[in-house]
Amino acid sequence: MRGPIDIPQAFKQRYGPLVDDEKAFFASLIEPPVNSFRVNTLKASSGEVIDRLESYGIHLRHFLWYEDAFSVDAEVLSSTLERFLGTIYIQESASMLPPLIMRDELRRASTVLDTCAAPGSKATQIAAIMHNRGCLVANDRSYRRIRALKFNLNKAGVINSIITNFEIQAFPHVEFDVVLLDTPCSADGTVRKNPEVLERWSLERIRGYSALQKDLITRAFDLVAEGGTLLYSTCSLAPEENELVVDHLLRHRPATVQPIYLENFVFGLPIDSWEGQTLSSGVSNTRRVWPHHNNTDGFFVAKISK
Amino acid sequence: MIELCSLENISRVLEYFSKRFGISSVVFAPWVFYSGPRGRVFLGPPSTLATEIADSCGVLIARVQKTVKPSTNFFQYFGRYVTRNIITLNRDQTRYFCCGEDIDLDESKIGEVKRGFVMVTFNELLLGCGLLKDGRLENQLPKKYRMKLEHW
Repeated sequence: MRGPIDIPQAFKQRYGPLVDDEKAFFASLIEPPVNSFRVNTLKASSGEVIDRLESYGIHLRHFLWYEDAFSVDAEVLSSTLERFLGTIYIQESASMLPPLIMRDELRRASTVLDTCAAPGSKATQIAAIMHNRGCLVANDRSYRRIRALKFNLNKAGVINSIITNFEIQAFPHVEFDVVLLDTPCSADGTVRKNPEVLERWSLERIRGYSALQKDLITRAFDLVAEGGTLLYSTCSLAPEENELVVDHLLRHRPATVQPIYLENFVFGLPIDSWEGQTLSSGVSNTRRVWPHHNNTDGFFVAKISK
Repeated sequence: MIELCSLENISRVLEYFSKRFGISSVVFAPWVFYSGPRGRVFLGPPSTLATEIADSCGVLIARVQKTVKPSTNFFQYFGRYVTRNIITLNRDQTRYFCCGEDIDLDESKIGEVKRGFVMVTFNELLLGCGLLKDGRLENQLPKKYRMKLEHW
């Protein structure tokens, strides 16, 4: 059982003015996390998986914005036959957004790079969207985390994958139709799942990540083929890790930020200035995900074309 | 390191899958066979990146040493094409199998199934690989796959 979540005053003062409904936002952070999962359509259809789970007496709720995603009330998923079979993947719902937002691009893509792929939530989802065709490079800089990545890709039946172990800055120069940079971040959008992020939350930490993210987004963009797409995402709420990183890219590379739309999903607008700095106009096409809008973790997404 | 699989090993694997399980080689046509350490055979994407920069690729489908040993991943994905040498478990046996236990089988369960590696199923769901020997199904699930079922 988790204890009560004590949100620091500095956190409240920073993010309160950025949201449309402060009260609802802070209330949502102390809600228990949602037990969500995605059907692995490489192995089964949503219809057959739902029928079986319901036959065990498990009550499912469908996410209106994703036909293959569901939630359950209790933490029962990890001991189901479906998990054993690899027909479901337990995954926080906001983390399903990046592949979903670029679903059309992924369906057309021959080559895709997931730069920070471990433990494989998004990589397995991308492979399912690609119907196991083409080539998905699932990279992670941590060799230790790659073991979990291998296990999850095998379990999900992801045949079209290549696993690599590079720092993104040192990744060989190969160009991809689609690159996903779900970057390392302060993760302060995941408070309800990981309340401990508040214990280490600080501006210094956010600024450290921001500097790293600016390097990573530039390198990731350089790995995108002409006409290709880069999806940048974080589970952070900090402007320094989100809008300011995209702004940095727009000032250093010929990048264009594309509009994002997902039916039945409520996105928050990005900020257009921060601490006296006006951001590039393209930043206005990025989107924030506030926990109180869709009952998810906090998230940020930017779809960038080259 | 990952290398392209030798033609000899590809032939051995395809022949084994065809003879023992009735799977046509056409099923594997979209992908490429790769080999890794200790006789591992992977099915992966058709890309030169696999042999140039990969730490691993695709799905481990078999190990080729003196004999061919199919993997649980192989059955869980390609089991839909298997036509013979299938052992179907009942509900209780399924729980024990998923925990990693061996199963003693009735003669009626074995029927025409021949001694050797078999695909294990429950209600047409593809559980994985077992080794049938002297009326006993030896569990071949990798340790990481084993789990205690509470809902099945």
